[in-house]
Amino acid sequence: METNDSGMPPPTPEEARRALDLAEAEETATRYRPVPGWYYPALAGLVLGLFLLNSIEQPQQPVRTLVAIVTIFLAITVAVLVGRVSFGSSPYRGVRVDGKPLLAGVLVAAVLAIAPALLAGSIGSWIWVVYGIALSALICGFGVAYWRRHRRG
Amino acid sequence: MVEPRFDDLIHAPHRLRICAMLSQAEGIEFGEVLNRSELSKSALSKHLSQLAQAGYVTDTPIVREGRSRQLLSLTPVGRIAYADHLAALQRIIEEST
Repeated sequence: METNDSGMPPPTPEEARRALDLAEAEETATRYRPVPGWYYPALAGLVLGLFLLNSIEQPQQPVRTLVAIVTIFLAITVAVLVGRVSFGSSPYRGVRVDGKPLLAGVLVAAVLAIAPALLAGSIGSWIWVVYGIALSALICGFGVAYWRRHRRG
Repeated sequence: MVEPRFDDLIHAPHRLRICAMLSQAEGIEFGEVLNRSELSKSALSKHLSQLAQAGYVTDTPIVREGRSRQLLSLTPVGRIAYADHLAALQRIIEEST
């Protein structure tokens, strides 16, 4: 191995380990750049709201119209929120994101979102509540893990 | 090909952090690096100047949200030097075990 040219002694193994840990923490902090602290709780709340609205069985007018309007509003808000945080203006360019965990999360979320639509007819609309709580908990859990990882970085 | 090569310039903790944060992106704006490094503006500029003189970092003016900003990036030479430096550190650890 080439040593430094300054005449300074090379780092000890402990110093080298600390330097590598420092570098890894910064690399991780770039890959998992911060999102606002309210993002995951807000997303979980909106998703739970959407699912709870779906659990209402055949409401009468004018409640049906109101439910439809609120559902559309919540769905648009979720789309705008995710879009802005994921693809909005950022001081970072071309971050090297590991897509596998992201894809796995999206797939699990998709299954949790689609399953109650398929099951509600045979089991009952209460299944929307169960899946809504499960999906919201998953989003919150992901948010906590994300926050801890970023904070460590 | 990564070749273990200890780099004094990169090894300084603040410059190591700067190289590490830039290594995972095509570029990061100066203001963000300033926030994350917790250095003063002049201290960060000094470190960046040293890295730029070695050809490791470039500074590109960009406009985002109607404001001029500086986008900092590791050059190909800088990426190689950073990877080689990490490999050198890893080798120091491995040789001790």
